[in-house]
Amino acid sequence: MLPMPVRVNVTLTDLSRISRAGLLKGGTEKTMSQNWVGELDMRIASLEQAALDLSGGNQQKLVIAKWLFRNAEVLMLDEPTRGIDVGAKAEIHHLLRRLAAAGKAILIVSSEIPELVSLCDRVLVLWRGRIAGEVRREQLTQERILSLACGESNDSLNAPFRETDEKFLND
Amino acid sequence: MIKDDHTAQDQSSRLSTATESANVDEGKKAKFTFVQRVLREAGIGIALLLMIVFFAAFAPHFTDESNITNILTQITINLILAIGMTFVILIGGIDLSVGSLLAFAAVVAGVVLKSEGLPAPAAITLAVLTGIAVGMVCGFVNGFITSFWNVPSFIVTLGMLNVARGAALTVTNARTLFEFPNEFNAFGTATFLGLPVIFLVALALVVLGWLVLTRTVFGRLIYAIGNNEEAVRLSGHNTFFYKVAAFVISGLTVGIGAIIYMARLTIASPILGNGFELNAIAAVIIGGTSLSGGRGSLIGTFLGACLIGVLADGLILLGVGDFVRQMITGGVIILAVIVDSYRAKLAERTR
Repeated sequence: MLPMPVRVNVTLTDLSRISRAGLLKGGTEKTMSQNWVGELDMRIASLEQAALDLSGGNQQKLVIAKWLFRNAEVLMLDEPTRGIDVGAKAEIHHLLRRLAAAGKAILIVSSEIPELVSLCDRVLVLWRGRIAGEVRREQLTQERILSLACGESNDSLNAPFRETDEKFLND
Repeated sequence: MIKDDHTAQDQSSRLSTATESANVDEGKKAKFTFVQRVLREAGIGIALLLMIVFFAAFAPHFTDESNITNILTQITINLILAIGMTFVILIGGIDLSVGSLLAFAAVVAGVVLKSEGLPAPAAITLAVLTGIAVGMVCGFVNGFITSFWNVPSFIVTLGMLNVARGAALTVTNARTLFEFPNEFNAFGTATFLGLPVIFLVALALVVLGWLVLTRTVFGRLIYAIGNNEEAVRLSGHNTFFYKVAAFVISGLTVGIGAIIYMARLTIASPILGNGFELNAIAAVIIGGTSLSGGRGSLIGTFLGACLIGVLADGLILLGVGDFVRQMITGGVIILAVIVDSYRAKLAERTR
């Protein structure tokens, strides 16, 4: 994220798409960044607005836009909705579901359990730096995640980590 | 605003109220920053214009053709060095070595220029290339050390300042070189359409540099690195290359500046360029480029160099002594930084 215009931020990840022989194509850059702004429903005053002047939610959308601009197939998001308002949060969630439906692989790191429950197809819970268990969409509940996060193992109390680790690797 | 509240109330959802008002706020902010941006770009131009009007009214002979030519000639070297300096400052660095490097490049080029057995055109071509090469190699060394070991460019180029000065003195054994080919010296005083050719060269470099900074991928990344190097690196760009390149460009302008300075003075001395780095930095800063990098323009640098030149010339014509002139020039630099800090504060507040 740069204190530079939205336009510059969106296109920074793949400048080859908006240039020929090292020369920037201003028109292409504007159209392409405008497309992504529209696609992600970002609310900005203009493409020239500095990224730092955007609201938290729009900044998050901008970060996602950057990587979609690069045609990233796998998105890794660390706390994508931390510190942004409810409305924007709902929008980001909606957007992520939409991207997943379009075939993108999305990995989310989050400490907010309701978010994980409403968003994820598969959740891996970490406890003391190791994977404590996996929960699939069908069994996904806040309680399930919370108990794993507190160290209660999936199957047995004696060998909680080894087994789930292997399960994860074989998956 | 009242209308907005009304429409917001009409909608039952609280959520949309929040987003609506956030929208309005952002629109306002954007307009404010746009006005600020215009002020930033135009501010220095307005100051320069006022200064010119003032001197035209009060300083005798200020508007004479010979005086204007004189100003343009005086500006040239500082302007050329300031172009390269702009690149370095934009990536968040600084180049203190340009003055000494100018002397070093000049004496090396001078030695080549005076080498016996070469016809004048060949000697001149070779000297120009050598001078530029010396500048670029030293610039590369500055950039490489700064970026590879991640040390402050302030210190690295301060070291280079001493190394280059010592090297320049060593090359000629502290002597001054003169009696260059006439064709070479003629270049320093040549005019085209009434304008000094060396100034036109500087102007061409400004335009070229401006195009590079605003219209190329290279320039885009120079600005981006100055704003947030880590973000640029994470976006998959080789920041090392661009940081070194900025210093090489500074070296390039030093090389060109050295050749032009030699042609103008018809000598090459190892004590040339003392303190030039500070004038170049002053031009860049007065031109509105942020010392912390990422913000500024070559047009600003051009206007900054013009402002310094006009100020110096006008004060001389007004009969202000050399000592007082230095004090006033220094005051203007400090003033420029104060204005810049207000600008930064304003930007912070609207955020």
